[in-house]
Amino acid sequence: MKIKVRYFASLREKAGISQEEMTIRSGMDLRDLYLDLSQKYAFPLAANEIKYSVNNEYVEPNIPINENDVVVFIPPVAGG
Amino acid sequence: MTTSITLSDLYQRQITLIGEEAFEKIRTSRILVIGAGGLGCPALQYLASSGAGEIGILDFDIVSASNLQRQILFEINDVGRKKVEAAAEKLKRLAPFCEFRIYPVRLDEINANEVISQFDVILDCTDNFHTKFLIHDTCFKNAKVLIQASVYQFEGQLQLFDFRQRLGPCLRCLWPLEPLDGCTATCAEAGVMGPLLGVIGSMQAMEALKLIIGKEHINNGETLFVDLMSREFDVRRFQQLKDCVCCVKQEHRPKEILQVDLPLKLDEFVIVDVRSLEESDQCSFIKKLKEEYTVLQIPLEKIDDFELANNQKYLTVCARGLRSLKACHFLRSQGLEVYSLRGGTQHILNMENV
Repeated sequence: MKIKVRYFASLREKAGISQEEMTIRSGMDLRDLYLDLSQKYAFPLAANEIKYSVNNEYVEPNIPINENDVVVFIPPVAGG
Repeated sequence: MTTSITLSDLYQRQITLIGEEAFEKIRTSRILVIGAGGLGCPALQYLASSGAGEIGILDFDIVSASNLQRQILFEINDVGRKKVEAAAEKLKRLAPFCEFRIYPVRLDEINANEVISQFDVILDCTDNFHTKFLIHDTCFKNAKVLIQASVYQFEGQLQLFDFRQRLGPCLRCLWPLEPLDGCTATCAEAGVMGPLLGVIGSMQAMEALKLIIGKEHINNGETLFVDLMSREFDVRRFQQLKDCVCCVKQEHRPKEILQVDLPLKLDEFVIVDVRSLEESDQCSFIKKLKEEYTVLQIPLEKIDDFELANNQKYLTVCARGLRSLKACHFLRSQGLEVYSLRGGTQHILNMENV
């Protein structure tokens, strides 16, 4: 199943890319995907420290991902 | 020359677009900008130059050389000055018809209500979660409009919370608990480009002005993401949390404030050190305080032997903030106005060593 993943703020910095397309197994939820990618990119934040968005809606991390979804991982940001 | 310049000379281009009636709404607006830094400077500049009636500027900090790259109200000669004073001086030259009120203090649990309640629209231009949540909760409680922004490297996020009807969704629907400061890098650690702050701070001013004149704006439950690297603007929406402690279960909040950071106006407090005399004598921070302020030494186990006057604010202090919190609880039960120093003297000494 093909999806698009976007990274914001500190996660973008850590991943070294803004977005990527990837193929994932069906039935995977957002939290599973984040944990997998955390291993790959050594993200500094735990799964419960970020927010998740699919197709421009904030959603809970246990939502299953669908084909062609645009998934965004959103860390907290406070700079000013 | 300047004395002959009128309101209409200054604001004609804007009046052409929005009309006299809308401009009058801007002229009578009261806007508070908290944080006169990277976001606050451009926001202040545009609010003042647009003719806002009254502008509050709150910031405890002084101008440093590393600020100048993005904090565009300040010049080399301002380094070392209080930001609020340097900002107000510059802005008065730009907007002689605007009233400025300056607050050279750190916003804390004690002063937040008093300051925020005096304005209609609040711009959060601060750089830490603790203050952002304090501003948010205080705006909800006082039924204010809050326009909040944060940046990271090339990205910014904006939210507008119109709490005039005390309705959500609110920030705590998204983040029920405030993220810990330190869970994400600050501008000092991660770096930031000046123009990003110019864009995001100006957008805060624009949202404020549109709201004031009754035009469309960012709504409660939306975050506007701005990415100046990829040139993308996106809105993401969130729902009200069914059991939100802030905007749904209003009776659960705000929590009673017991712990505070070191107040800026320490002279308004009697400091009560609740450690043993031996422990207290070894503390360099308390020694320093004794030179300037009233410090009582009452060990925690003896706190109920003393009768303290109730026409006075107290700040209880110990090494780590635990005994002082117990003392604070006890003294409050006696009807006194008491706060406990968060993190204790060790926290203050650690901060001084940074």
